[in-house]
Amino acid sequence: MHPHFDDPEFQNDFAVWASRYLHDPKISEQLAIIDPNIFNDIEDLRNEIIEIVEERLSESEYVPWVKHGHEFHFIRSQIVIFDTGVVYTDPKDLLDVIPKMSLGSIFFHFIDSRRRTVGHRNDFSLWLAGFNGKHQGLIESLDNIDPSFTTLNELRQEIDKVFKNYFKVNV
Amino acid sequence: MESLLEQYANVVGNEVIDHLRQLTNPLKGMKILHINSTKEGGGVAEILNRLIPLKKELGIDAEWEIIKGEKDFYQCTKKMHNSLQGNRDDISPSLLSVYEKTNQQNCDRLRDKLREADIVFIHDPQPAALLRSCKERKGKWLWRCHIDVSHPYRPVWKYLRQYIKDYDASIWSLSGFVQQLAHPQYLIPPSIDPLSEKNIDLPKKEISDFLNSWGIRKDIPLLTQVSRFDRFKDPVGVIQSYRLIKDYVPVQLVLAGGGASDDPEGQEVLGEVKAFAGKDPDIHILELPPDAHRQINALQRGSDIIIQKSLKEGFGLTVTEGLWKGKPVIGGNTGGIKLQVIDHYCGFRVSTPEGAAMRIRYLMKHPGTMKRMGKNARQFVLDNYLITRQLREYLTLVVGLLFGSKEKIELKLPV
Repeated sequence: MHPHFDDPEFQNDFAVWASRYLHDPKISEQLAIIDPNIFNDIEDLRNEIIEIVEERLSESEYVPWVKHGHEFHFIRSQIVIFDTGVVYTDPKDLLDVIPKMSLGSIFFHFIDSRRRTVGHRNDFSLWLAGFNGKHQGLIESLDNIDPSFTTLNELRQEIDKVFKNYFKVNV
Repeated sequence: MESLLEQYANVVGNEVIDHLRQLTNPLKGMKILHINSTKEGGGVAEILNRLIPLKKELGIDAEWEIIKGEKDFYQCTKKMHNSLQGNRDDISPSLLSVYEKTNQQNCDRLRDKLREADIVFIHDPQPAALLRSCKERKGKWLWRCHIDVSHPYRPVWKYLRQYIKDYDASIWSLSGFVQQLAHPQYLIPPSIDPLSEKNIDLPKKEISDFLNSWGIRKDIPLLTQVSRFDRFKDPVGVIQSYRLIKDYVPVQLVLAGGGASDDPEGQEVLGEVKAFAGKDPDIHILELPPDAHRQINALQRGSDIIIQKSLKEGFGLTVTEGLWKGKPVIGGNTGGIKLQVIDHYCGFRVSTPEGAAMRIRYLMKHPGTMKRMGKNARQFVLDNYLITRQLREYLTLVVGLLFGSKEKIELKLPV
């Protein structure tokens, strides 16, 4: 549980740690820009992180260090997926639902989805694609949302805005 | 009358309760046993007092037992507690022998329950040696560590580790508290109960009646630290801060301490604090019994700023309690307080009495900031530190143990 209140300047724990505790802006910037969605699997992602770290080490005159107590702690996570019991068949019905969606649901359908779907898409766009091109404009707007550099709460607002704009135009 | 789960739904929302029900589904019929060393006083007992009924209402066969010991046993475990938090406090072989014998006796007394339980949560060092005595156990045993073991006094940790390493897993409040062990280690921060006497909303009159009964004035700001009289909580440092503020603005200070039956050092520290406070009429030292929950609630609600200037802290539930009451918290920059007090958002973290004084004076000068921080504080606890979140994580852990190391666990709504 790592609540963030500042603008999420850095997108992953490695970059945050490198910035706050190693005080090495170069490596924190390089780590921050990594987009995990462009890698085919976790091994490729791991190799990319190692590559950045090794490159930085090779150009450093000394091995950077942190004070005791500020070490990086590796944490493994296990995702638990709950059944909300909520099912909709008409995209328009989501207008009422999205503002009330839990942040966990936003994470699952908009961010986690990119790891488990072909083409690294969000669940909404994939579902809408099943309507035979009827909602192509909405799909494009959703695909254009960059889920990085924002909080889940702001992301929910952004998705909500896209739905509202689309259905207002198409009523 | 509303069920317990309905009452929680009123605070946290139905979705949170639905998650608990889904997590409970695969655990129906399992026996879950919690063991610690005291039924009252201290954060562990407070949480267990509510976790057990909640688990039962969800359909889990949950039980809570305590281990019992003589004075020497508690003296030993207090030394362990201090040593694990970094004090160089050697424990004599005779006291360690009392520790082992007491655990053996308690194991004999609780043998049937320990043997039959599917999941056993052992809280803190006091009952940690039970596992070795219970050879015929069939369930999974988890050691739940509530304290900061990041820099233990090594001989004491080495002694205790021989018991801990045999557990199936251990649970820690923060990654920074963890000592490396070969078994899986889980991170679950503690929580508070919004429906307990200590945290429910109170009528204004009740708050003011309590404050009057303690001689607390209404016309000047009130600073409060609620915690055991323990040197790690730095009550003397709090009085030093108060004196640095008092020179500039009128203010009064309450140091309120509840005793825990497993803490023999409390009286000694209380004496030191009283001596240091002297006869200042605006310093109120309240010795509250372990069940003075409503009084503590009123005290926190009647305060302007909550202090928890600990030098070492496992988690510091009084911090969460203060935040829940919409108060900015000045917390020591240590342990779990680092997770709870987000600097400039819901309070300030400080390292010295001077730092605490500086931040308090700043807040008193900026009432708008104080109000904004208080609002943030309440929401922060609602999102992260209520008992329903902790219960969800305990249940998730157990479900995770059942499902093995799968990356994703998919649950279904109860039919």
